[in-house]
Amino acid sequence: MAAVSLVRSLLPALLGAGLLVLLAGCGEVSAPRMMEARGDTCVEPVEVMRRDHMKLLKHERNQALRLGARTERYSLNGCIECHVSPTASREDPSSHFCLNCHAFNAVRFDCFQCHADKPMPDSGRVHALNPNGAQHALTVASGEELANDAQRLVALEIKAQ
Amino acid sequence: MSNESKPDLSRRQFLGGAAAVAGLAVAPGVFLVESASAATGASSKVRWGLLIDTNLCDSGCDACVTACNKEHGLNGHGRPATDAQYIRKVDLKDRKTGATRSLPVMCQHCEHPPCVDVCPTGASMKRPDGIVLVDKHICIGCRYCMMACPYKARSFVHEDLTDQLPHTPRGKGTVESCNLCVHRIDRGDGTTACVEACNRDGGSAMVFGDLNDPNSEISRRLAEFGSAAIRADFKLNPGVRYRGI
Amino acid sequence: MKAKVQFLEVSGKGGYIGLLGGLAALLVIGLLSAYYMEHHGHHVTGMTNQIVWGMPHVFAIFLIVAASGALNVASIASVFGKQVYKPLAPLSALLSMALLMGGLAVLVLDLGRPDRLIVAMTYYNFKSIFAWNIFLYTGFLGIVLVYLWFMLEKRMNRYSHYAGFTAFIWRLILTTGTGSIFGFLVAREAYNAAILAPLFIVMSFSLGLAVFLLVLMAAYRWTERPLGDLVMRRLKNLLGVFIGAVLYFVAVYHVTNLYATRLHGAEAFILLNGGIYTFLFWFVQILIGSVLPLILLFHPTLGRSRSIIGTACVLVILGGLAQLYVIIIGGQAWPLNLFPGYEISSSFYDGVVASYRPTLPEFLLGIGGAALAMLIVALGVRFLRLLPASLADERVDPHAAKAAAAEPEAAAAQA
Ligand code: SF4
Repeated sequence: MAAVSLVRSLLPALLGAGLLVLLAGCGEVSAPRMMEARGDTCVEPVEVMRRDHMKLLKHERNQALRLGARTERYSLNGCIECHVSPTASREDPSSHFCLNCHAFNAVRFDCFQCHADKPMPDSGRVHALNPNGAQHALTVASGEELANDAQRLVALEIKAQ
Repeated sequence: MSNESKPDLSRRQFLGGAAAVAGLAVAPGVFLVESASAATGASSKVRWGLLIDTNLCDSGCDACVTACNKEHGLNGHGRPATDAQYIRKVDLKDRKTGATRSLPVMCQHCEHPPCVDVCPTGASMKRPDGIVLVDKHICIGCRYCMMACPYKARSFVHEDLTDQLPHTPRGKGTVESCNLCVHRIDRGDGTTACVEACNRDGGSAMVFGDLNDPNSEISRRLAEFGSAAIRADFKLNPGVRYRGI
Repeated sequence: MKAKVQFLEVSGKGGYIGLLGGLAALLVIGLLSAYYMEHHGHHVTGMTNQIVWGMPHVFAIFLIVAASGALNVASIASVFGKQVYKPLAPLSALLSMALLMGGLAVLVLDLGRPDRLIVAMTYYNFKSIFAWNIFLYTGFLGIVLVYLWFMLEKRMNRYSHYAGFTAFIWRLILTTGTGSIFGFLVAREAYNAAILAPLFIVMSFSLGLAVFLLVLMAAYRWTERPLGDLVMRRLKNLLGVFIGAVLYFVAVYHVTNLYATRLHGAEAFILLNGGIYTFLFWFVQILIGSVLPLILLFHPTLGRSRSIIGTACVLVILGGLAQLYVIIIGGQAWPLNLFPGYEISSSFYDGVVASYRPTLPEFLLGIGGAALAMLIVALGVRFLRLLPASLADERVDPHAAKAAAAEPEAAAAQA
């Protein structure tokens, strides 16, 4: 009996302490270090791509596969030619533009169960917006720039509500 | 630094205002217009097909098979019962006369494909230009189409795959088959990997073309020599035709 | 005056917990097997590009077919107005829902992409009999649920007859739909027969009743409630009639196939030289699964023993599994005839009998589905008042005891 009441009286304190520990653990979250793209512009502004790339891709997929209407512009292979290095690997998501961001945001996607996850080095096919070709090296974007992008997205989100 | 040029910030800001995002969100039609003008897609005025002359096809030759496996990245896992085969060489021996024949068999791209009829989700589909495909985005892997196909043309992906080719997406748990090299057709190559290889390394037994165009080579040959379909009694009107069977 | 039947839930003591535990364990093993198959891909099973439907489908179709048959008892009570069967109707409805769920679970877990179940439910190809079956199955669950509710809820009792009738019709369509899955495969010589649909219907009668009898006997024995001979005698005679009907349709199926010369190869494969399939057909399906149970059930002295009736039910179930194995897998093992009149060979197993060696996970997945069904039944009778407290003869029907022997045949003839 005494033990029960002891636990009861301690419970709020215990809960509070747990909460504090959790809060203490919440530091600043740093954005994943994303690969830069080749070329100097994407098919849509970055804010559009960040929010709606899946819609564009899904629309393209249905048009291309079911009707044979391929636009190149929004094709998944096009994304990969500009954004993914031929040496990227599924085993190391940080080396892969798509996998990196999806892992960071904990969004499951299964494109790469079927689709090639990196450009073919000798495909000879280059996205219209990519002036450099698939072999071209990629670098990691600066954290500052990513933070700016993120801030702008948040601002847009607030404005939209 | 100069080569790995970063996206131009001011330009990005210019393009990426709230208006552009809002426009996309309110009017999803934006992309509809875009792709409609950018590509017309497969036309129902054409019907792609193959004509295979078994008199020219040698039993020992498998140039078409090798080319197909290479084109689509069908490397196999050394497990013949479960590995995919889009095209295979079939050897025939007449039970009465003992005469032999050899011919490649692949998806016959039927006008009335049973796989399309039975598929519960509509993943098995026929394009306007007559090419029968599996939409692997909505295939659930029930294999009913494999039960229904009279030509045994389909394979099921029995394991995880890596290093697929960009133009031939394929993955575990879905069904696949010959797609008549649809990426080449859409690119305007006017031929398939097997036909190309047959003309280069084989007996020049295969012709690819538009069955609806009376002036195409395939139509002229069909008009001149006639042809047969495998199991014509099923009345599926396949787009792949044979001579000499 | 008819004695009022009292329904009581079973108690949750003693062996009940053990039963639940055992079933749950089997279910978990089944789920793990499914995960194993999905994780590695189907190459770890015996299924190939030749035998595309294997052991899981044998179990799944068995459960689905038995599900519609398990509703028989309720149908006879409500559609044909046989009072003796009335007290059994709620159990019959629950069992049929449970079996259907077990079968569907197996079917779904065997898909190449079970994670796309939502796709299966949002994209429909209305030409596909498979897509229709999705509606038939979910509709069946809904209708039987309503039926069960009408039976349990006093104020709704007077409508239960209509619900029962709807369920009866729906169930016939459902089994026809299951049979048609095969009937539509024109190129497969073993399946291209209109008789498959009625064959599946009579199979569902006998398999469903066999499962029902086993569950009934187990439930009454383990709860130590009285189960009179009157009910048992009727049900076992009915089972005998159904077994005979299945035999008749099997005979018609093979005889009509033998008329068509082009099917002689496929027929000889099943009946004469198909190795395992011939063995399963003659020895397990016909001898052990049909003839022996018939003898046991109608034997003047043996047929009275509860354990003999139970044995006969188990044999019927084994025979049914063998029959489905022969139909489903034997039908695929026989090669497609691409070029009639030619000997065919290729690298893709053209012209040769395909071999199939089922693996353990396939079995375990199927068993897991059956365990799921039984688990649902066990939970159902625990929390709902489905089982009559007594099925002793004087409780069931004090006046009709003497007419008991003649009636089941009449009911079967109507069904
Ligand atoms: S396996 Fe895929 S393509 Fe084939 S019938 Fe099933 S859902 Fe359709």
